[in-house]
Amino acid sequence: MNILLVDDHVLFREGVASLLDAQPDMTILGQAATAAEALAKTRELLPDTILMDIGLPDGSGIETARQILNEFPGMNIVFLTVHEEDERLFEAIRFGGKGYLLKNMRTSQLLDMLRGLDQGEAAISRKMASRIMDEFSRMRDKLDTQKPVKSEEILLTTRELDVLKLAANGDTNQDIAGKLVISISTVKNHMRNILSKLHLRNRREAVAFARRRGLIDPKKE
Amino acid sequence: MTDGEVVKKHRVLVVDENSMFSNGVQLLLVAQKTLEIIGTVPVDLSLISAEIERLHPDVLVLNEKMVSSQSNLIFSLLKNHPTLRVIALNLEGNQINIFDNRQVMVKSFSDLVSAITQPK
Repeated sequence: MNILLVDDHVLFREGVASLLDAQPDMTILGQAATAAEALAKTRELLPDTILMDIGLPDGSGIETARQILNEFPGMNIVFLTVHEEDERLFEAIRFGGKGYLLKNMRTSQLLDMLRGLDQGEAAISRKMASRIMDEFSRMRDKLDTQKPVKSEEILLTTRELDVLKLAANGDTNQDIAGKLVISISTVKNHMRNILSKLHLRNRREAVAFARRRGLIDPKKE
Repeated sequence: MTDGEVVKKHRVLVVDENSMFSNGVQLLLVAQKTLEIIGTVPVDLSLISAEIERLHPDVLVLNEKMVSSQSNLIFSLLKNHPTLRVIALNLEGNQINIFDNRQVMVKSFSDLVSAITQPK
């Protein structure tokens, strides 16, 4: 895992860089202290994972992530925050963040969660996951029955939604792997996560779900 | 430095909350030749006091949050160990508090090393 670490807190950034660089399966490609530096280093170093502080001196980490994901849609961006009550959690997830971690979390948890990214898992603590589920319940209550509910999709990561859309359009795992530039086993992992999160039994049910939700390009149906 | 001259290392005791922040800072400190990490101690007031009695560190490094919640501990440590320097790291910003009442802004890791090694 090749990591770019973005945080203006010097001791935190350098300390975490040392911790991660000491792991045999992780390499710190670079560090950045500002949003501008983060963009420049992303383009220069092409990391596969970015650990991004939510608040940067020259802008928001979330906005920076949005710009990065526009240019590099496959990149894993995990946000770091001090406060678990941070209201930016939902904004961070909407913009395609693959995780949201507290800076005071245990080292072993951090390492487990970063390694889980490779398996298509979101890097998020149980407490944070529980907040998302609460928010999801509130949204479901609000939406009531007026419009087709699309809230299940919120459970899926951006990449899982990409996989689901392609599968629903009839692409094989190999086609999907080719289009998203990932391995077939990663596609399978994403599909397993999709089925598990949506409580579906097989790919056919997932395709039917995508049709119901209007995720398929109508021209291809 | 001449041959045979012994450089006194600053003996540091770290309060280890087992977080990525404290573990990371420990790794950086361990790599410093002028410092010796003589031990780590969990976030437990009686254990911290006992380890200071036992190991006589020059410096105690802990998280700022502990200072705000246990300010009496810091006062009593400084009172009972006048040569001890307590350094509180702040997870939220580039500020470290040094008890004897100094505050510095950190521009690089070397600023933390200076805070530890500067004479009182």
